[in-house]
This record gives sequence, C-alpha cells and structure tokens, in this order.
Amino acid sequence: MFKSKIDIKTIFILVLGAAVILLLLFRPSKEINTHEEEILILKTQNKVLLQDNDSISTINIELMNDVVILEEDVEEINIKLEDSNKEIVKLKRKKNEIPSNVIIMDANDVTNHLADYLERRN
Amino acid sequence: MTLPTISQTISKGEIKTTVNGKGDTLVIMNLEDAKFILSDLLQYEVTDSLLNIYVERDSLNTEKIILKDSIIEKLNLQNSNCKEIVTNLEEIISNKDSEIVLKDDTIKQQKKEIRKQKFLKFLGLAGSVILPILTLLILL
Repeated sequence: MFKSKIDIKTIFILVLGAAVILLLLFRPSKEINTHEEEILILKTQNKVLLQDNDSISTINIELMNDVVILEEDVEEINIKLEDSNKEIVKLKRKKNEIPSNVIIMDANDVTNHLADYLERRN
Repeated sequence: MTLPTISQTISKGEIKTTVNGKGDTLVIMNLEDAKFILSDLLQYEVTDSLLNIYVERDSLNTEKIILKDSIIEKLNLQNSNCKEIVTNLEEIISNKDSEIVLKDDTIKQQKKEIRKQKFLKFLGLAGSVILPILTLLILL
C-alpha cells in the first residue's frame, strides 16, 4: 500500500525538498566581526598614552632630583641660621654683662677700654 | 700713670674742660659718668654686631623662602604631572574596557556560530544516515 502511493515524482519532490532544506542549513554563515581595526586603534592609543606616562615619569624624576638638591641647600641655610642664633644669644649675653663688668672697673680700666674703643673705631 | 678710683671734686653729670700747662685740652668728668659712657659705647658696639647678624639672618631667611618657593613650585608641577599620569592610566583602563567589550562581542558571535555549526553537523550526520535509509525504504 505504501509502495503504491510513492511514485518517482514523489521521490523527486522529496529529494528536492531535502536539498532545499540542506541548502538553507548549509548556506554560508555571515562573517564574524572580530573588531580588529577598533582594537588596533585602542591598542595604539594605549601605547601612546603609556609613552606619555613614561615621559612624564622621567620629568618627575628630574623634578624630584631638583627638589632634593634644593632641600640640601635649605638644610645648609638652616645650619647657618642655627649658627647665627647661637651668635645672637652669645652677643646678647655679652651685651647684658657689659654694665656689670664696667661697674667694677677702676679708672685705669675705664681709660684703657675707652682708648681701645677709639682705636677700634679708627 | 695711676688714676684715682673716685673723682674728688667733680660731681656726677658735670663735665669740665681745661687746658693744662702743655696746652692739651682735658675733658674732666666723674668716673661714674665715664663708666656710664663706656658701658653705652660697648653696648652699642655689641648692638652693631647684633644688627649685622640680624641683617645676615634676614638675607638667609629670604634665600630660604626663595628656595622653599622653588621647591613648592616643583612639587606642584610634579603633582600636576602625577594627575596627568592618573588621567592617562584611567584612559588606558577605559580603552582596555572597550577592548574587552569588543572581544566579548566577538566571543559571543563565535560561540553562536560554533553552536550553529554543531547543530548543522548533527543534522548533516543525521541526514546522511536517515536519507539513504528512507530512500531505500521507499524504493523497496
């Protein structure tokens, strides 16, 4: 019964149908976009940015070296200031001691000191 | 020559001048006044030295301020450079994120394609088995 219903035409139609289905299924797939160009542009940008950062880091190292040198100079000045502070304290003490030293002088000492002063002045 | 310790006749605050037999002009004053003047003179001398040191200190402090200003300027420049580095790094991160997004999209497409190809492979294999059998069944 099955055999009698299927003739050569039906077979031909079935084969053609199967071929159409297979053609549809095996049609060439659309190309996958790998975004290569965009990725390349991004990588180039990153490379440039990294180079910029390297240049800036080099400048910063130079600046840091300059700062170290300047800080050393400041330290030298601080030492000089400290020395001058000591000198000021010494002179102030000397200045405060003058009246008490002069008061115990005799006439000879007074004359000698005045003579010394005049000599220094000239 | 020994001088008397205490002036005998002249009182404090009084100054006299006299010319002696040799023709020298002598200024006469009380010893305490002379001490007072000497004390002031010596103090003025020390004050002068102090003034010189203060002037020197002033110059040193000015120099120090200039150096500190220079340090601050350089540190500010360094700081701004560091900010620029951070900005650049943020941009790099953003670019990397974009790259990841693009690659994710590629992976997604490829996964989809692989799934499709697997399905087609399965269909192809199934068809290559079923179709001959079916054809044989029909023909027989």
